[in-house]
Formats: sequence, C-alpha cells, structure tokens
Amino acid sequence: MRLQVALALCLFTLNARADSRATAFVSAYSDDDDLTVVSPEVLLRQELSPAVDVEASWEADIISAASVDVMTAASPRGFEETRHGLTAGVIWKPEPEISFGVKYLPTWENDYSSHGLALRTGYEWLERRLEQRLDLRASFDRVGRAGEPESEWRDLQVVALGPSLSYVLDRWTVASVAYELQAQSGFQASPYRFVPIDWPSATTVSAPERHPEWRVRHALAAGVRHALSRRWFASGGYRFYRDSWKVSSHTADAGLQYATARERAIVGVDVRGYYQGEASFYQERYAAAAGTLPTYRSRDKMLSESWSLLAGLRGEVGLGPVAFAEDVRVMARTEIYDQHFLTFEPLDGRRAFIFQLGATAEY
Amino acid sequence: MAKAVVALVLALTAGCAPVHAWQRGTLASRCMSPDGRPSEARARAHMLGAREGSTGASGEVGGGCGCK
Repeated sequence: MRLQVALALCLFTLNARADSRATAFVSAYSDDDDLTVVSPEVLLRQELSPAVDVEASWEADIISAASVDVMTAASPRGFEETRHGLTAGVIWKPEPEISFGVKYLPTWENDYSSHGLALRTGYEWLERRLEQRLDLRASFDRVGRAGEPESEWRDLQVVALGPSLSYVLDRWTVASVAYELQAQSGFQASPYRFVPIDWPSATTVSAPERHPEWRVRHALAAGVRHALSRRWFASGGYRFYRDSWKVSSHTADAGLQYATARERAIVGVDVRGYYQGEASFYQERYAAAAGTLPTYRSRDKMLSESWSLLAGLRGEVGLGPVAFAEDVRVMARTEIYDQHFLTFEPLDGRRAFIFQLGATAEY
Repeated sequence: MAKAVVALVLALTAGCAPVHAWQRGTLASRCMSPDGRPSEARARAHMLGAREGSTGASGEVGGGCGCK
C-alpha cells in the first residue's frame, strides 16, 4: 500500500505541470481560392498564488484574399487586412475542486469590432472523477464596411451558454459531453456581398445580401479519450448541430497519438469529417417572383450544402529545463483541409494547407 | 435534448469501478488532457468557424470576428 502511494506520488510529480506558462504560436492557412491567413498568438498565464492565476493573450489574423466571392463583390483586386484580438482573464480556485474564471475579449479590424465577456465555472466531484463546467459568453459586435464611419456600422449581439461534463470511466478512459446554446441578434449578413437575382424580364439584378436578424444555434458533442497502452492513446468524437436557419451538420473526428518515455516526444495523427445541409432560405440561384425580391437572400457559401475532410500530423518535443523554464515544449503541425460545396455556384470547393508552429515554456 | 444529456450522464456514472489516486498516472498524460493545447484548439475552432456554417460545443471561447 505504501509502495502504491509512493508510486502514485512519483507519477503525479513526473506528470505535474507548472501553472505558469508562456506560449508563442503561429498558424498559417493557404488555400487554392487565393486566401492566405497568418495568425500569430502570444499567451501568458501566471500563477499569482495557489488559488489565483491571471491570463493574457494577443492574437492576430493577417489576411490576404482574392477569393472568388471577394473578387465578385468587394474589390476587383481582392483585399488585405489585419484583425487583432486580446484577452485578459482571471482564474480563481477557492478549493482544488472548484474554479471560477472571467475573461474579457476585445477584437477589432477595419470593418468589425467586438467586445466579449466569458465566464466559466468548474467543479470536480465524485472523488474528482466527474468534472462539470458551465461557460457563459456574451459579445457586443459592430459590423460595417471598410472606410465607412463607425457610426453607420450595425449591431450584432451574441450570447452563448455551454454546460459540459467530463467523466473518468476507468484508469484508461475519459468520456466527455458538451452542449452549447447560442443566440445571435442583429446584422448577420455580409455588407460586401450582393446576390444575383433573375428578374421576370429575363434580366439579372444584384441585391444586397439579407439574412434573418435572429439565429438560435444548438450544438451537442460527445467524445472519448482512451489509453491503449502506456504509450498509445486514441480519441474520437461526434458533434450534431442544428439552428433556427435550418442548417444542420454532423462532425466526426478520430485521433491516435504515441508518446515516448516521460513524454519527451509525442506524435499524432487525426482526421475529421464534416457534412452540413443548407439554410432554409439559401438558394443556389434566386428568382424574383412577381417582381418582388426574396425577403432573405444569401451568397454565403457557409450556408450552402457542403462537406469537408481535415487530416493532420502533429509532433511535439519536450526540451526539458531551459533558462528560467522548468520545461520548454515545441510543437509543429501540418494539416490538409478539403472542402466541397454542393450548392454554391461560383465555387465547387477548395483545398487548403495549414501549418502550425508553437513553443511553450512552463515555469 | 436535456433528457438525452441526463440519460447519458446516468449511463456514464452507473456501474463503473472506482479509480483510485494511485491508478490515475495514465490519465495525467498530456495525451489524455483535452485542455492541454489551448492555442491549437482555438486556432482550429477559429479556422473552421470562418469556413463552416456550424459552431459550438468545442469548449473554446474566442472573440467575435468578421471573418470571411
């Protein structure tokens, strides 16, 4: 019994990770629809006391686009822009099993601004076998066109509630289930997109895109992680989504990882499949009935019927103690993303390559 | 949907053997932690959210954006 306790303490010490960490990360996306996005991020998490952590991050999306719907709508030459986002948060753990977190998330770019607030509570019970979390998020966004005065931008409010559970089934398996309810109210179309509409007189006119101003979204996901052995780990998950615009989707993913002794190196592969149906008001081609524009009209391929596959390879190496850090870990990941649009006239699909590189110092 | 969640929770909590503290070494692995890679999870959720019509239940919280 004493030997078992001693071994357990050793295992927890070997696997125990420092609560303070600094992460530098960059993700690069490029597809054959001439869209490139480079997204750097810096994240800092500092333990102020055993009960309080603070967290701050900066992220950006540096976008260069000449995609087909951008070229036909916004600019004959495409566009370039940068989005910045910050987070600042506090996590409080009055007891080891109880946690509260609050986070402020402002983002801004030349045609969009957002102020978000996120709250999270967590509680572990049943001898820490069951962890329950509740996330609450609200954001107040302003949507406009580049060069337009902000006073003319339109409002969009988003509120989301997300309970989740994570349960230790046995010494090798953890299962989880999560649900999210999201409500969006306000301007939800693109101020840049125009929808071609066939007129009864055999002409085609372009009308500004118009979406309903209210959307309720439901997502239910379940997942499992299982240690096949001390070195091999498998994971799988499924998510069902449905919203008030009648978009429904199915997502399935699976992964396999291998960790060397003391987790000095970890390699993994994962795949994800996705299918969605189109929104109720989406049409590949609109026709005006009796000279009246359709109430809702969209040129958004995200609302069309589509499917996609995502596959990735990931590697991670622990460098051990470096300078002030107890452990420095470096990761790299490469992915291929294949998306197919079944009811989007301008584009049949796109293929993207994604590359990620990151380093985390734990201290 | 609430009934389905409750039923799933009851199924998970029924009839499982206890897992003592000294048996949780494997569970402490980085490969078993869904929260261990926040930057990667956030980047993926952000990328997919800007390209697909569905979102949510990923456990990640990000700021709003006018992503095209």
